[in-house]
Amino acid sequence: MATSPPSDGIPVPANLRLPDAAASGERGEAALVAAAQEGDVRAFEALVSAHEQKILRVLRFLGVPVSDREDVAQEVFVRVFRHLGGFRRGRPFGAWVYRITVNAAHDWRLRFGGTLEEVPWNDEAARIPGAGTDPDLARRLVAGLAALTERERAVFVLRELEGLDTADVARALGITSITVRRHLGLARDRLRRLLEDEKKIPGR
Amino acid sequence: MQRHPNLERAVRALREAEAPETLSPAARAAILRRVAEPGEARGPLAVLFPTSWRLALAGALPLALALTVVVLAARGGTGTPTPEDPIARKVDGRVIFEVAAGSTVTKSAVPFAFDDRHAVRVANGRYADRVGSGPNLVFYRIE
Repeated sequence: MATSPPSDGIPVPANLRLPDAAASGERGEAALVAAAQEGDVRAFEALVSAHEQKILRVLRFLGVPVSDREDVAQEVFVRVFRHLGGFRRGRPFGAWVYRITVNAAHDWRLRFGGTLEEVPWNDEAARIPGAGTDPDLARRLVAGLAALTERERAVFVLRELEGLDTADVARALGITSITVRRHLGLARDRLRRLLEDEKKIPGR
Repeated sequence: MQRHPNLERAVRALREAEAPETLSPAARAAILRRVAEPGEARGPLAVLFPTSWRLALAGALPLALALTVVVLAARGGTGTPTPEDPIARKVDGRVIFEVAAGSTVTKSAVPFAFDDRHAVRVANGRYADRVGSGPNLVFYRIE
């Protein structure tokens, strides 16, 4: 899984005029956000390209099944566009997108009545080809995420799988750093126990 | 924080897994179509002012309205009202215009969009209207 910062390698539309030094990295993203705030759909399309993998990956880890994932991702991007005017320049855009993604996953769960435990994780776990150094452990971890509460799961996904620091997770979820650490501890303990006892993992 | 070797291995394995998902062309097109819809167009106010500022400005509108009435009252507090120079006062939650007898007053929430069907002819030279407490601007045309 690619874990590079979301601001790297952002494609810039050919017709978008940007200062040369700002055509890549965070400054490039800031320029794209600014252009999109002014209604430049091409700039927004570049932001979609930069963040689509991250959003789909987070939605998967948050329990949105593949059948609904693109629909929820669409909703995420439309919300991003709709609320761009309220985004304060200079703030971390990635954390803001994470927050919208987590909220959209929550709304999806409310709308369709699904609970974390009811999400069919077997097919999700099977979709991890190779799964790096230890495929079995990786599959068991994905399956074990379903045993966490919604908050624990969001904290664990953003902190451990997406690699955000505690402050960014707190910002993305609108909670304090202390709460992040508490939920992370609970999630890790529960997953550790599940990984030790394979029979407890839901869906297996 | 306590170390969990199995969990750390599992996290590492999952992060190394090569399973990037991307949007289908249809989904991408649907997003761009939706954001290009007229209802999704980003208005200049939304771009110029963040949410907190927009809320603050909206909250200031009643104050601006009251100030406008006071300024008008100060300007026209003496002399005889004419259609070009009406007198306005705010009294007990009402705005009162003193206009030339026979004038017509038309009220609208939108500037330059007055509906003549709702014009009120002021025979006695006084027109009163209630001032709402919400963040609404009301425009009056006096002819």
